[in-house]
Amino acid sequence: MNLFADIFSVLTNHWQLIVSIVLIMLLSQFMLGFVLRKIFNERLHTEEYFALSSAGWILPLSLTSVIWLAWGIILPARIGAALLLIVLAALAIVLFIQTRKESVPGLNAVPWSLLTLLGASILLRFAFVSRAIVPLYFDSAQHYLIVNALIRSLDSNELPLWSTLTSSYYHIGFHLLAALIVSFSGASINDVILILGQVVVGSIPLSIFPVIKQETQSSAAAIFAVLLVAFGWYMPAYAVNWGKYPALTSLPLITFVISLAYRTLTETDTLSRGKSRGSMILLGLSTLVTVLFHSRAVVVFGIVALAWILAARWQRLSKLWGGVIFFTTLIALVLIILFIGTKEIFGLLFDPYWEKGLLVTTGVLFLAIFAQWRYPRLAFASLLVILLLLGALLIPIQVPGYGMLTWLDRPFVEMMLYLPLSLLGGIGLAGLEKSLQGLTHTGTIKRFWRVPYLSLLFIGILLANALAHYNLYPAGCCEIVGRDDLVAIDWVDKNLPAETRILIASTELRVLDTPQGAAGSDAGIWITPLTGRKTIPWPFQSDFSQQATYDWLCQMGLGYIYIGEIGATFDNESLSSQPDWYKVLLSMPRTKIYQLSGCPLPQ
Amino acid sequence: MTQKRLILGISLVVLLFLAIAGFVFFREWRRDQASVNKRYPLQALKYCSSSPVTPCVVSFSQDANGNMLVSFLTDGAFYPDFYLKITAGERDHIYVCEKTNTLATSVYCTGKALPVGEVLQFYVISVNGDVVLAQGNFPIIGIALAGPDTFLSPTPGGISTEGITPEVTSSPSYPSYPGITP
Repeated sequence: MNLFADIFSVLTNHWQLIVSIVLIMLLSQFMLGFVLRKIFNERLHTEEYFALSSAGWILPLSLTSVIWLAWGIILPARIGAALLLIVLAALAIVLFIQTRKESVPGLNAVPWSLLTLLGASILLRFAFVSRAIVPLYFDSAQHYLIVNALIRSLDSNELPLWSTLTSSYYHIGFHLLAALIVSFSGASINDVILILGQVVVGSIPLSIFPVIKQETQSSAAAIFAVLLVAFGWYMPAYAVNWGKYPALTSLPLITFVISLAYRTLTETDTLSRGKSRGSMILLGLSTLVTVLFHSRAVVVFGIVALAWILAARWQRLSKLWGGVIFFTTLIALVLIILFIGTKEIFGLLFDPYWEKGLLVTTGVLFLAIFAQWRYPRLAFASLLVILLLLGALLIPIQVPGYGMLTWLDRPFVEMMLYLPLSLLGGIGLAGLEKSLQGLTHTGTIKRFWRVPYLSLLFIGILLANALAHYNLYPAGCCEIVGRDDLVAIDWVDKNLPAETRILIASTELRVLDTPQGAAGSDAGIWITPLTGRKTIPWPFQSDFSQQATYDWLCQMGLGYIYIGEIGATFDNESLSSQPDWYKVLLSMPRTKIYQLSGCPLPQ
Repeated sequence: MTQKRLILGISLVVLLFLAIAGFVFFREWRRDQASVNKRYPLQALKYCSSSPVTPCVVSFSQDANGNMLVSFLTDGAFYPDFYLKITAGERDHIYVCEKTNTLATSVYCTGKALPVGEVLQFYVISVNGDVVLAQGNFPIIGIALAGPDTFLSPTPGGISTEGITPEVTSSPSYPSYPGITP
């Protein structure tokens, strides 16, 4: 009952923002659905249109946010946002009136089921917001900073300079979208990030429906895959704990692009030249927008395209060579998994799918046999995608300005693996259904084991597993801000000089073989976004009782040291043991603010 | 079919309208609950628990000037502006309260430091109309005093870096982007 009470408290506390986001989501979805219907007419079922437009709803809204950014030169941000959304709503009404004149297929149970699933999926995700004080982990502080910079620039009728946003951040799509919503709703940046993030997470599962429905014609199997994405493993939804909002927002878009590409390719012969061109333009636009949300999506698109082409070629091989290639791929997959398992830095990669998701993954592996048997091309392509995603972790690339990286990083691959696995699960269930259908036709097995019962059985097991293990609330690992921290940061804002520099705890950011610098490890990382004071990150394990440390702090001209309430914080004892060097300014049960004192005057 | 779609569209709009109206009604009801002009049973004031009933006290703190800070968790934007009165013996102490910029549910009140351990009477009183919104009797516990000898020390001992110029350690001591802990 707590879950429902928590969801209800979020609905009542943030109802204006939730209604605003859901309304623009529906508007966006409706417009995209209209465009898709113009291209594909009656080639797609109502449920496919619904699922496709649910996956790509961010697309029209993102284009709107880009226009809003450009309007920023002439119009104040708030007025520009309101005007644009009025135009968007008016356009949607015109399109709605126009669609009334056209005949559309009737609604059956499947679209209603999808609508219910989408609503339930988004509603359940609001439980997360009920216990989150601010968006989680250090990434979120960065998002706040960028959204704030965007709004401030546009409020003063200026286009934001790249350098004013940040020198090292490039996934601007999510921030533009959040800034647009902040501007027209008047809600706080943190609330918008939290609520928008959960709406995005809630809309990810439906994005897988179209591909499976198209390939298998089984709605039950496609719904099973939707549930796999939603509750099968703790990824991808868990990434909100990491504050990976741009990457999360790119996920439904990636699946939308894949679904659209798949449709466009399979309908090439039946589409008119104009419609084919329209589809390609939409595909290009969606790809661009996806990359705007997460630049590494380019690599994923490359991997999916390569896997699809290789799978097509593989299908044309003789049985013998096809078998050899298939088993070679399987062996390569096992070897790469074993190799990655030996690397400490990638240790967490398989955690959601193996250590914490063994039952579901085992079920998917079982279904993958039927997927390979009945839908060999998509199943083999999914295997190749897994292989290439893992391979992309190991292949280095020199990126100008960023040094030596790898094609993909561990957190993103960890977030992405749900996609090929869910595809295998969905088409695998359809494959199993098909196989059993063959047997029931020949009377080999009893009527009881007919298809609908089988899908229900798998869906039931999946939901029972989710009920027992799935956690909708924030994970303790990534909460770095406590309630006292908010009071302390507010106190900093009101009591410390604006030009001061504050030392904050940090930890080493390491998702590749080589370290990627420091990342804030407690609430200190929020001081700059919330107060504008400069902060200097420093390893949280540091011993402040040492003379060398004190001398260095004095040399750096630091004024204050912040100890957060939770996370990896500085050791308070090493500071309190030197009262002549560090004077306490604010003392809360766990949060402390010290002032550096007694430093020799600079010569 | 067109008629069906029209009915469906109208139904969805009506449903949405009802949902919005429901939330507005509920919000107003919540606001009335906390309203300073109506008489309702006085809310009990306690320390916040894991499932807190708001308003509740999060913590007591102290700044370098010897002021005491009392942190509160409230309902957020709906909760009226208030000040805190603490009665110790026969003396009343008034604390000015303000919401943090970040989160409307976080409020802190600043005023005179009071002794730890002694049972005190706490009154949360609305700025508008001086209506008592919540009241509770309890001692101050867990206060962190701003003297170097009286700190609570919640964190375990740190790792020594004696004689080394401070720099980032070479191996991860805390996993980046961790998973679910068992």
